[in-house]
Amino acid sequence: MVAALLGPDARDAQRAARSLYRSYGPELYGFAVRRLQDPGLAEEVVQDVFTRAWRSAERYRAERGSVRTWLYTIARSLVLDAERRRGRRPPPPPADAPADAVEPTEPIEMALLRYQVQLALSRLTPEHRQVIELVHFRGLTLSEAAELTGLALGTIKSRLHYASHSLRLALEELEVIR
Amino acid sequence: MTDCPQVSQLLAAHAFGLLEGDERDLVQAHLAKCPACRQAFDRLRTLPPLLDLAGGVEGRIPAPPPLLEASILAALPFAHRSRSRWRSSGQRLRRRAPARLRRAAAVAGLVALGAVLALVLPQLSGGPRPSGRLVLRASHLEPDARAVAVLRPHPWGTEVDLHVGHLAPTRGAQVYELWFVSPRGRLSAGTFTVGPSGRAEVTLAAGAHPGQYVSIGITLEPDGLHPARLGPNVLHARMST
Repeated sequence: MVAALLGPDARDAQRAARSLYRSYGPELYGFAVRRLQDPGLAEEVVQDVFTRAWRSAERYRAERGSVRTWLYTIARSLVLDAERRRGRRPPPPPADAPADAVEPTEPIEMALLRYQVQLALSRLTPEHRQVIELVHFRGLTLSEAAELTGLALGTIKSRLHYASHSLRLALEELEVIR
Repeated sequence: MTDCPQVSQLLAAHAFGLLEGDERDLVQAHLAKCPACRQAFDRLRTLPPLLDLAGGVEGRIPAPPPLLEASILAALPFAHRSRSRWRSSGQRLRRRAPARLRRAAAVAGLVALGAVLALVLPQLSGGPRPSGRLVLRASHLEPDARAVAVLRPHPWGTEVDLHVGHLAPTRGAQVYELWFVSPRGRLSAGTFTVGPSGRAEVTLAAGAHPGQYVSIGITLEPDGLHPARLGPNVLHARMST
């Protein structure tokens, strides 16, 4: 994909850029918004990520890291720049912002990891998210989760098994774990 | 291991610390003697601490605005990347010709290029112009509307890749129409309709050449069969000079 950006054919390069954006743009935007709490600034950051990636595509080396890692490295740097320009003070969060969304003093590496785990969770089916929420975040036992959902205990165990494997896969796709 | 299938179904529950009594004993005894299941368990054991970071499953992941993709693509100068400058290092020529030959080849190349451009692009004053990218501003009629236009000059006129969003859906015979506007009049580049999504990506064209027109605009025409500048202005952008 990155190699096609460098090709002599403008249409191939455009297709590659579109594909690159569709693969990574939305998640980069999500990270930028979460961190900056400013959709307009996040748009600028994502635009700059792709412009910078375009300009430095010839320096990308697959053996040094994945495309996602490369783009996140650029994004991290641009988000930090944006924070510095703004004086590290995010605007007041919107009234409907999730409570965990604003951690302005959190190191950016931690913020990125937190975001990627949330992103992985968002990729699970509602049933898989539910079982993880019940047993992990609400601290229910398997029996309590079965009773609350009206499902058989065996079904809850099986659902947790598949939910865990789906979550691992999502985290692997996002390169959080290998 | 004969009890691997049964235990493997319980590994996730064990990783979350949810097993009790006989089941927990069964899994622990099995893990002590089965490297494959132990490896699988170790992989699952990484999940709870990562989930603690997330803090919950309710966090919404913000989606980018629909026009961000168009805006990013429009900002990348696809047609103007110098092939030599952007060639990857692996493709660089390892051996270079002597400087005298390179200069001669460059002069010959420039002469040939100039001749070709003079033939096919007479209106571009000797060289290809950059593709123009315009962000159109909404009128009070549809204040939420957004549009990005990428203008590509050709020998026959101008091609426009238009990406619009948050436009009111067209109804009945209504169409939106894109115009090139000059002090002396307007030239239509074509019409398009918009569905319930409010978005459209179209390529339109007109026999308009750079420098002849000062702005582009989009109107909402009441009758697609007779789009005769009757409709109000919806979006507008001045061309950079």
